[in-house]
Amino acid sequence: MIRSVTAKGVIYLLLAVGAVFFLVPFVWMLVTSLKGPEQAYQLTLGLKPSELRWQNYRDAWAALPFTRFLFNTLFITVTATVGQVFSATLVAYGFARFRFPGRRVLFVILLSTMMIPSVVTLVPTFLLWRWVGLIDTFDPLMLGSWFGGNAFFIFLARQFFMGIPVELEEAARLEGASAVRVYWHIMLPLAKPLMLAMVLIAFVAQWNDFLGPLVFLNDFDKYTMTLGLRFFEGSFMGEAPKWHWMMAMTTLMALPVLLIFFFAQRRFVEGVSLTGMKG
Amino acid sequence: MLRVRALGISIGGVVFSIAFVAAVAVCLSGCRRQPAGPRVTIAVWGGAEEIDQFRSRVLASVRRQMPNVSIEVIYIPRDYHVKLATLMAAGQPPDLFYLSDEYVPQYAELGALLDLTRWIEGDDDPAVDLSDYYPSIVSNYRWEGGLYGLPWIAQPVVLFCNEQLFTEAGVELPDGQWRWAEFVEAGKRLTRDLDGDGLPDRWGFVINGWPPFEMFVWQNGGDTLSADGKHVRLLDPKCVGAAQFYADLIGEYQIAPPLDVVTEQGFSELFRAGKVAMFMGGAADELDSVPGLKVSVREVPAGADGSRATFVWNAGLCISRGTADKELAYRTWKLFLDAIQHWKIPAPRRSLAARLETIEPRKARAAEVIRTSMTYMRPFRVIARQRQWDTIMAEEFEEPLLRGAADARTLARQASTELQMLLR
Amino acid sequence: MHRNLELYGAPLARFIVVGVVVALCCWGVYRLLRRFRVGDEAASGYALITPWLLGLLIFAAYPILFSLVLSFTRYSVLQPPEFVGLENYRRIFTADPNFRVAMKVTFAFAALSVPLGMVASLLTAMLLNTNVRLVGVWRTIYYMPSVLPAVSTALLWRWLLVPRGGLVNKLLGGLGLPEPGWFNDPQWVIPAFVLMSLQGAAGNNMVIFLAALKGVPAQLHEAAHIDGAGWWARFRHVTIPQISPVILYHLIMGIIGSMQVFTQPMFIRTPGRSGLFYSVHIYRTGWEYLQMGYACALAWVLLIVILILTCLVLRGSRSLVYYEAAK
Repeated sequence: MIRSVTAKGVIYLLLAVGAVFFLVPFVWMLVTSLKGPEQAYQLTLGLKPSELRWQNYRDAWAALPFTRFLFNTLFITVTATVGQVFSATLVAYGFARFRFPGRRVLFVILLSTMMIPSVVTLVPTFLLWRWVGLIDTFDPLMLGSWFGGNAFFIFLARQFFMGIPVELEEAARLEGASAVRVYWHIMLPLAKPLMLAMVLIAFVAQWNDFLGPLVFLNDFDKYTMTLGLRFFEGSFMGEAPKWHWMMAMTTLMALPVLLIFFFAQRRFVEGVSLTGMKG
Repeated sequence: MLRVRALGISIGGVVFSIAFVAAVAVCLSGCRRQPAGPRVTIAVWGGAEEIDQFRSRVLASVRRQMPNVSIEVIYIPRDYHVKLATLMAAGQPPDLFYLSDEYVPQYAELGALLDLTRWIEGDDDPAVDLSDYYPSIVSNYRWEGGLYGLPWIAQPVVLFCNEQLFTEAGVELPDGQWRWAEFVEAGKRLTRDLDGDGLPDRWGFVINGWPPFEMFVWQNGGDTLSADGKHVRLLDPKCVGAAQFYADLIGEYQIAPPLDVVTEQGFSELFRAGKVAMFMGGAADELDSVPGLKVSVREVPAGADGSRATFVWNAGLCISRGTADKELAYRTWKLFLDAIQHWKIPAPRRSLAARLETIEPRKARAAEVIRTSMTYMRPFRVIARQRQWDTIMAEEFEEPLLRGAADARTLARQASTELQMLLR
Repeated sequence: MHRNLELYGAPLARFIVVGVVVALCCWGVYRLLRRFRVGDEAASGYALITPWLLGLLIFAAYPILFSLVLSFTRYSVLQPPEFVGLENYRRIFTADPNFRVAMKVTFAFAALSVPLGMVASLLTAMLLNTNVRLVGVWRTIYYMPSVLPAVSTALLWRWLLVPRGGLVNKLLGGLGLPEPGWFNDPQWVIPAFVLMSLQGAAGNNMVIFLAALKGVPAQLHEAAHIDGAGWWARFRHVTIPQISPVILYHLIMGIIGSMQVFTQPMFIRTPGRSGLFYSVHIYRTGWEYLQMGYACALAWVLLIVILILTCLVLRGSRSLVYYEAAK
């Protein structure tokens, strides 16, 4: 609770100053997306209202089959997010709460898998998928999510679970509930703020992923929005890259995510109240 | 008790869903039809507009001529070589692919390219008539006796001149006789401080590592690499002299803006905005059709003793060594090559260059200059380790040179040793 | 229609099937272990981590071990690898000046960006945890930059940090402060990258810290407040310990992430080798020079370094991190 007015004032001030810093990218993107091709590169932020080129958005969308790209991106992102969140929390629960031999070693191995830059694992991973004949399909981008997805989610969830008091679970286990039931009925609801955070982060990561789609997809119809976006970077016949279109599409791509965030963050407020437990 | 029952129910459900889903999956995979018959895949790069034009002007025409072949295109927006190399590593290379001439020796040495010599030898198709090609660019597609592809474009560097700025400064447009001295002279007069703040607002010229300084070296009668590709010639006085001249355009003569200004306002953007009078760009660049500017295309100036040389950027189409049906690939390759040469300008063939005006009417005014430039155009002499060469050259030599960190001779000494190691 | 089924239906079907199969494996592992008289807790533990174990064996082990094997070979990607023993490692430690430069640059970057990033995101999360008006809007604003693809932010900062006329320097100049050369000045390259990283750090990390802060039981705060603890004391003795698992997480992830930073340095040209980050060096050697074997060796050296750092952190954290249900 903030008691004093001055404290509140200070907070507002800090928030405002920081907000300017954080708004800059978006404002810049928006402004660039409304410029003409010649001015897109220039440093001036200033734009006369009469010169706003809203048609950039329409043109950029029409330049490539973005409706199809959007659908592809959604398809991959939603499935991968679902898979990742569930499997990561399940695995994390195992690491957080259960004692089994080799737990520490396995955990360190988990961490180590994140320490290799993907540039060197790209070729063998590609070979793997080729071996099952799934190159040029969406599968390489989706199927991995059932296996815990990115190790970083498992790590995150584990830390989170380890911070939750055991009493509730112990009560349930004493009554004979299986690990999975405890997971489903107790841990997940308790971890709502975490889950939301994870959904958000997983969604954004998949939504913006470029290297994966680039390498695993050959068919133009399967391309995602990030790939489509990068086509605007090419310069043709000495023309400058189409920065204004690229910014228009980037802005469009950012909007759904921001909306999700805006509505999800309210849930953080309702978040976890463990008061009931300690009674 | 609780557990078993719960699990019991879910087992049934699970088994059912698996059966159902498996059935669906089987059904669907049965539905997927692999296109029977001959297939050719081609990998290309390009921006959004380029893809469109590729489709309508090139792909459509090739498909018409090969109606029974299924042609699949892989459009690669960025990181072209990562994708290409990955496909090759997995044994699934595209049959045909773009490759810029810098990469040909590297890929040829690694056995990724098909040697086309014997295919081309007996073939009298005009698309592969080697005598029609400008010899200077075909040389980069040869490696240790083999020919590994042919170019589909040859863009010589030409000089774009903003006529209005010339008139305002009272300078005559280049007359085809310009050498370095006249170039610098004009540049000085074209660099003007209009608002009296001590900083020029109009510049005569602009460089940022482009055009490649090697072009000036050639104009000076030298070369960075020996003819046999075994020795670095960076320390030759002609080389050093040319490189120093290049740097002096910013530092000493001040006819080109410092790199900071270029970063700030963009490179070709400066020319488009009418702030720079002369720009060296590729012949196909649309700098002469910028709305609001009246631009003339001229040849680049000759060296101090009159030697003419200009840099040519080119890229070609290659066939993968591992392609299954080489005969089919070759036929399709020829069709694509010809179609692209009729689309991208200037084509690397004399017969097509002669018809430049018809192929691309927008370049009609510049056609003569372009054709003349093509007679003395030169690509880099490429080695197998070209990428390392480029990195060292850029980081250890060009960048510090343009920044004025040191003079050409000192930098050349350092860079030479490193570059020489690449040639072992 | 057929096409759509093929494009989406088949992967979706496979997706569901794989999910179900994984779930079955978990169950199967549990039953199997119980049959071998393994205790319930251990069996459950293994069953729960089965998805990851499977993933490890299938998707991680092969590529990672393959890259280890490759690190002892010369591999040009286009041709089969040939064994060269310790040659690559020897070259790393004796004959590659770029290795030392890249290590130094990356280390310097990590040393600055990790602590600064953590402090920044924690402060931001705390600020956004208060009950100010329109907190939802504020939070969204702070989160915005992390939604953008790395390429856009790289472009943006390249533009912002232009020495003459860039927004940042205009601001600094206006305030009478010196205007550094940022990406054009070798001394300022790393601070420039650090600055750029702060914006992204705030986003995702802030979200996680926010979730963690929300998880601190309110009564703990109230109890401490009743006991007369001021804001700072409460922060030190209630908040920090309660969120310490998440702090540890950020520290380790920060180390792992910052040592591997890639997209922004690739996109932004810096003078000479002042901005040569380690993963850029790996990328160049592997993909541009097609010396993938050497690149793998570089990658493994990086892995060892990060591993050592992480183990040190984990070891040191044991006494510092408070796990509610420490086992």
